[in-house]
Amino acid sequence: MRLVASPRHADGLLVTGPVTRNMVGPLIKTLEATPHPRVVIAVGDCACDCGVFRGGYGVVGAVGDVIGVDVSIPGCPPDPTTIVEALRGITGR
Amino acid sequence: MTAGSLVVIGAALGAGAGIAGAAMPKRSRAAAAAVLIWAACALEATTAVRVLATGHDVALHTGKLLPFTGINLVLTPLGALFVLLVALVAVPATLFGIGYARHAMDSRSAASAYPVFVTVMLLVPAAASVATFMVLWELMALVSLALVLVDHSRRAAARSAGTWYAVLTHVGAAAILTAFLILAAHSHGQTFSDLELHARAMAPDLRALVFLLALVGFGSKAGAVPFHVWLPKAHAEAPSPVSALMSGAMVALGIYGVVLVGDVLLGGGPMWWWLVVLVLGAASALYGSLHAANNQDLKRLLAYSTTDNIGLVLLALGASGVFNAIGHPRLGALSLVAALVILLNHALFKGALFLTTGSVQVAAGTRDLDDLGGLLRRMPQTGALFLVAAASICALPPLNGFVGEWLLFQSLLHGAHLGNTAGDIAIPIAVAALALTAGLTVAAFVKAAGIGFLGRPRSTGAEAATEVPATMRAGAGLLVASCVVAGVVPMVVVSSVGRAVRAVLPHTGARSLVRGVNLQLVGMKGALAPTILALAMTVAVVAAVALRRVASRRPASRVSEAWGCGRELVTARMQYTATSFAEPVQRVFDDVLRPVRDLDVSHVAESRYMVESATYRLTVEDRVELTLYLPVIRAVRRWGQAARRLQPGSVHRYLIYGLTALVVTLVAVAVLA
Repeated sequence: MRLVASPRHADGLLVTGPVTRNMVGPLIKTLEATPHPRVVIAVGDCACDCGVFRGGYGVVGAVGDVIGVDVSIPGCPPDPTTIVEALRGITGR
Repeated sequence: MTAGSLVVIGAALGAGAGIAGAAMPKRSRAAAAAVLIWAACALEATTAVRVLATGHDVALHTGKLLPFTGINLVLTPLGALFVLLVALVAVPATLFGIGYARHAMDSRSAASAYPVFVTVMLLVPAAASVATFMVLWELMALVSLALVLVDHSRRAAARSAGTWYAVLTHVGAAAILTAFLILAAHSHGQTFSDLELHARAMAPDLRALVFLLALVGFGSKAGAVPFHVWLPKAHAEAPSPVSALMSGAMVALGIYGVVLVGDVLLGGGPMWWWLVVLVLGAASALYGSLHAANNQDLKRLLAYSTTDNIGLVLLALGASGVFNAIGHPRLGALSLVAALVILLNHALFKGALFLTTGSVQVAAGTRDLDDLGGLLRRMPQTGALFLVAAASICALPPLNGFVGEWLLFQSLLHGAHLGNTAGDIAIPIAVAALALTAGLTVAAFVKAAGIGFLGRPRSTGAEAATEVPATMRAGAGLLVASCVVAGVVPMVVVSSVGRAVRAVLPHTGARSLVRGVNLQLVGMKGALAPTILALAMTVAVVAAVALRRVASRRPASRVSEAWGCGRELVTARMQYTATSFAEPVQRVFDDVLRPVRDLDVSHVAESRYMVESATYRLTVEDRVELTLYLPVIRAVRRWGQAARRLQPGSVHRYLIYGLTALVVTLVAVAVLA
């Protein structure tokens, strides 16, 4: 598992918060720029269902409302072991 | 018809072209002059080919044209090679000039000076006496100066470039004239054969003085560091066909001068002469390529790259002299072949680059790389020609630049361990300089081609660029085609250069390097089969493309916009610029280049924490110009200011000067008598 500098080199996108009005466009552009096959991972309650920010001004919705989510990691904050487990589940290593 | 009369008719046709340029109406001026120039080039080139093929000189003497001495022309194989070089650049540049004249260079003076410039350059290599040579040499300088100054009324930069060029070329001419006068004073005549006969008997110190003077004089014409400062100014301001001729052909005649004096008239010399040439060459190559990599003005970039290439030629020339001086004539001949092949190649690709840059300037209205971009889509043919020429100057096979650098590397690598201490130290350093230069050249031309022709346009001018007229494309296309031919079938080039070298160094017993379709080094390991290499590369590319078509199961492709870090708005300003592309190189060589960085930040009146605007400016000045020339210019200016005190405008003072001078003269006469 490596962090890369550009979505052109990525296999997966990790989203860690709710989608605000400002970030809808960039999120969709980032998804567009990522080559197939790709996975979208929503990390934490904020990303999965907006968490404490639900209904806030400027919040459009959860990641799942804007783009499709393949893997959700719940928790506020999510337990590190849960994150590792979910990521290992994707990579199979 | 004798060969001599061909030369005369050619010269007459060239002069006729000059008159046609002045006399014809504006619309047909360029085309009429072009036809006559082509005829002149064809005649001179025919004679040159005949001289190269037979090895016999063509001589012509007339006592009438020039007072006292007459005109002496002898076309030797070496001169013939340079006549061919000039013709090879002049024919396409003139074709380009027909289309270019609709946009610039349409004045009567330019149209009449241009043919004279070409004709004089065709004749300079045939000059065979001091008087003839100096007349033609000065005529070449003056006519090219007139061409640099074509835009003088519109651009202050052209006037400044003209001044720099005029001063440096005349300092050079003075040095050359001094060298020839010393030689002539020790001979019983002023023809080159007289000089050659008596030069060997001269005192070693005097011979060295002659050589160094000639090196300074011809070096200033060739654009070697530190005499190169006129080059980026004049090449940038001259009209593009003239820049192509100046950079491709005129600069090469500077090298002709060095070979003429060093190898032919003086017949070689001690090792230290040639070590000076070698060091001068290495310095020029490094300095030129470094500045080329850091310049954003396309024409200045090309001009610095000319200094770089001339540096390589001087390096090869120096190596040739070193090898000859320590008793390895075969290596010496090989290095000289390499020098002349590089020079010939340089004429072809640099001519093509200057012509395509002229097209870009006409189409986009600017030649600043930071304002260009996206031109490959807008002018596909010009763009493709520029790319091929750039690949050639980067010495990529199967183009012609590769052959020259291969020959030079071979000669240097074979000469790295000859058992002579100075040589064994100098040659490996030369190899290192050559390698660094090659890398910097690639950086410069990746920048020129990548920033200028790829990406999105950075200005409205580049946005609106359209393909240039057919004559301009054809002119550049001819040169690029000859680059390809000289790269795929370099046997023609190498064997003609070999003939010229054998005439210059007859005692070396050098034999032809060409074996069938191969270049085979004589008496050394090393061979190159350029044609087979080109064939193999073509086959490999075609096979790879075909294989990909046939064998791959590509997933369905998807078109999406370029990645702009997720921003809503992606503009041309977000691209790499030429300045930012050059930044790593510039940072590494910070101590050499000493760029001037200006950052002006203005704050909002209410708070210093808020920036209203920020301007960043980075200029890379020529350090040689600043440290070597500016102090001299300042001193001359101060001297001039001091002299003005003698001339206050008072008539009484002038009358006193007159009276004093008269009295002093009378007293002096009385005392002496």
